[in-house]
Amino acid sequence: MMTFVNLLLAVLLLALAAWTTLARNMFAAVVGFIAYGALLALAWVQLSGIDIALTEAAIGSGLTGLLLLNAASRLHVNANAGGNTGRSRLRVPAALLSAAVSGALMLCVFALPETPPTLAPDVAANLASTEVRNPITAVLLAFRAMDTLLEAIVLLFALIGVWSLSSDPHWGGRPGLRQYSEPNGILAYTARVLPPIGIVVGAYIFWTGADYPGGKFQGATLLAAMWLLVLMAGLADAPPIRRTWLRVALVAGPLAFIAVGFLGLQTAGAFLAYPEGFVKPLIIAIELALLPSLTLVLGLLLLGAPLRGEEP
Amino acid sequence: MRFPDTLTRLHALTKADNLGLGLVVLGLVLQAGSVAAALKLICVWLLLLLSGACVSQLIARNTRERESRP
Amino acid sequence: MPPVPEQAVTSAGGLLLVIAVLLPFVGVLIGIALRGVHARRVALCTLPLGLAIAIAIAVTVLQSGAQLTYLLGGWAPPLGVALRADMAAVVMLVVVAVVVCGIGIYACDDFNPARESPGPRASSTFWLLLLAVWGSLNLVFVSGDLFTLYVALELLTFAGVPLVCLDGRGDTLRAALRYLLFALLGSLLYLLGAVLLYGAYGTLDIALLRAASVPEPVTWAALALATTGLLAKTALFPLHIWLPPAHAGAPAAASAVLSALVIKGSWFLLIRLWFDALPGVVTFSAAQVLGALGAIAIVVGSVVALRQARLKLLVAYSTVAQIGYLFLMFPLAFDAGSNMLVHDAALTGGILQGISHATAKASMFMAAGLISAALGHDRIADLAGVARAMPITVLTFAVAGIALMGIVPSGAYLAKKLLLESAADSGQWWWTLVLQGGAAFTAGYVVLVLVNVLRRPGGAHPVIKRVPAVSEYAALALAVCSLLLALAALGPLPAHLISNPLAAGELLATLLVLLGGVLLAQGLSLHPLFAAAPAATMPASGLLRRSAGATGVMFARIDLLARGWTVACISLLVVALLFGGLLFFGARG
Repeated sequence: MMTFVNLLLAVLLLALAAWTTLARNMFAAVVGFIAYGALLALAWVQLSGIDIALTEAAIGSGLTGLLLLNAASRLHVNANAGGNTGRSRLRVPAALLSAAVSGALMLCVFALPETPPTLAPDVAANLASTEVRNPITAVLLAFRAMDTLLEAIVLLFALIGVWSLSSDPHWGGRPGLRQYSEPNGILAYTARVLPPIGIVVGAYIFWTGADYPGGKFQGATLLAAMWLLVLMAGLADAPPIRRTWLRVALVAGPLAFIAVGFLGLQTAGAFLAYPEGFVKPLIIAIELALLPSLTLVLGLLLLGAPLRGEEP
Repeated sequence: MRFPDTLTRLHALTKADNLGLGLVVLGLVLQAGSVAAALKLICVWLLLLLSGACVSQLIARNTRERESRP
Repeated sequence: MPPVPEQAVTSAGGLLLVIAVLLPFVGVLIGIALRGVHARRVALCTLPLGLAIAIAIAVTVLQSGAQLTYLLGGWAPPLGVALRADMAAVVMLVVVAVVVCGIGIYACDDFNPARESPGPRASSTFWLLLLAVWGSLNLVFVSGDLFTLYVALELLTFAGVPLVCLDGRGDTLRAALRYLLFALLGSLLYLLGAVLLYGAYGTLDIALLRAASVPEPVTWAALALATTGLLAKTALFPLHIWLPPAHAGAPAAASAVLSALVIKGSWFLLIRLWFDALPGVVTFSAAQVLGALGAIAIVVGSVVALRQARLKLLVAYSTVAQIGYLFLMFPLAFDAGSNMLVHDAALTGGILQGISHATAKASMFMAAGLISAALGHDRIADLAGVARAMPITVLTFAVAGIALMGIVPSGAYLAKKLLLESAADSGQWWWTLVLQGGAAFTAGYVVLVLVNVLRRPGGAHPVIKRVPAVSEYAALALAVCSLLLALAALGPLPAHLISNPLAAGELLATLLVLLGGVLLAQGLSLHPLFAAAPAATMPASGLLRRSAGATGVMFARIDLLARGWTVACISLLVVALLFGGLLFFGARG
């Protein structure tokens, strides 16, 4: 039974990937991509990668999908997705080459060792010393904490890049366009009812991350989604990017992470090491500090460059 | 085609979505090990009902506005 | 589980590596929080601190004589991540710090938020991005883990792309998008390679991979993919789709960052991959093809550079050619005896080439930017009289050109000597031709610019705006740095290389290079080099010039074709398959 489900999932994934690539209409391609992300999340569940499934659903499919939808609607809704692919006589060789590369890759994957060498036993053996029970969190915030810190900084760099696209008169202003909707319409209603629930769920996903699948990235995505919902319904307006509180909140997470890292130098003998007995509290403190920063960064990345002045 | 336009398709879709998912959840509730798990499943269903209803409203409204424009 | 190597312990002073990476990043974070005019102040405070740390690392490594290691969080690889600094990393750290400081001084006046132009957006963003590029590069140099290196590549891309479109014009936005998409494609290919390596060996640590890796299909595929991705990010011909518009369109200081520094990140990572992580997997033919791509890049880039009408585009295409130069060491470092890449004189020469390019190209872009700012345009044909109006800038351009050509007192000269010696030692005489010919091409476009700036102005004084003297001197200082690299390198290099730089043979070689350059510039440039001279009107040279012109047009067409999206993506796939095949069959045969 499960084999059948997995097979079906694999076929569906391939079909959706092909549909997304071949779709003539940009909007259709984006919808295909979002559905593909959702199915991919299911595939990760089947592979017991719940953390990855959550991330894929939240960021890979949800946030990226929204970003693409935004972009597609900014261009032309019915724009021809395959319009600029260039000379058609180069298509066949390009397709053949792609197939050749894919084929070679497939052969290589099959050539991977039957029982792949993995660090999972290593992680499990050292899990106790990190005081958290979710091995993914242990990897992300203890064994390879540097990578997580740097990823948080990557997001900030991306935000600097997005902001730098604003026109000079609007620099420092509010990102995106002011949204209006019927004050008693269904969108405003949703934006009033859903956020409290969403915030609770987001906080729960964040909190449970230390011991079970979940964590700051997935939680932050949910919180950012709730924020964007409120903005989309016109119940609130995006803050001007010159606001000091906004900028401090953006960098507070990574700075706190670095501070805890240097604290480890004093107390545990290495940068990004945690003193025994305080590992879990410190990890949670880092995640708690990163949560608002990530929420803001993800939301602001979606809102885009400042498009208007400071006035609401 | 049985459902020629967006509105009729939405109409059909919401039935399948809400009721079908409700039945799936009902089946899972019977299998759930604890009351808490059962309640969580019901919460999931309720949330999906809410979002499904809102989204189909929005799609329908959008369609009507686009059709009313020449 | 693979055995943990002896050096997997934190060495004294290892913390400096962490600080070298994090200091610029903390600068960025504080700069974001304080915004506006403060971003520049924060950056200007960070520059000397960072330079001091780079020098401290160099001193520590030179004193201990061993590489510097730091285990992050106290976790040893493969579970944790180690930062390591060997001699190559230390050299790069110091040179990048020097270049960043030079660019910082140069841009001090250009990107001043207190001034009207270019506005607070560009001027505060520039400083944040400068620090961001710096921190990312430091991470590339010291990271010992393939995934951390991927994050470093991401950081570098996101720091580099906004630099392209700082002035916000439409065509620079298009160039930036082109760069972003192609660079992300490259990052993904690299990541795919890293994932395959983890799947095969269960570790991402470079030192552990070196011990564990064996030539087998997965490793070949991983190396081919990662190499292709990194070549796309380094913009080696034919994957240079994004480089000319991006580097020519950005403001001068940003171009200097992009051309001198950013491409060195992926290039250095390629060295790590080929020399340190998988030296035994590399085959002779793969190394030859990498060098051959470099040779083609030199020819195409140089010829197209000679065909440019605008100074900044000329410098950008000269970068395409110089990138080719950076790949000539790969075939020369292949040791036929042990059938692997080895750390030897060729690698030293290659790194020396890289750092002299970093300094010289930064100062060349700065000089081009100053000329363009002073004149209000950068049309090469209308540069007459600049030498008299801006002697220091023209001197900078000339010195940087000499450094790029590899004429006697420069670092590139030493690099060339080292590579020539390796070519002679390993019997690969064909690379000698490429090395000497490449220098002639470089001489060609340098001479082309110099002849034009030295020409007497026909009409009025060409300069419409004064440029700050401090910027001129910063550019000159970097150019002189490039020359002095030879002196700085005297210690660790074999002394016989520089025994007699003024011997007849050396002088003859230099003269030949210059003469070749003059001929190339005369034949291939858009306008005859010595238009006023009667020699240009002689019928025989007219025929010669026509055929040379046709060659130039052909190369320009090839370049244009290679820079189309479809063709570039096909090239990407072909390069990947090519390397995969070469590794596969090279190991068989």
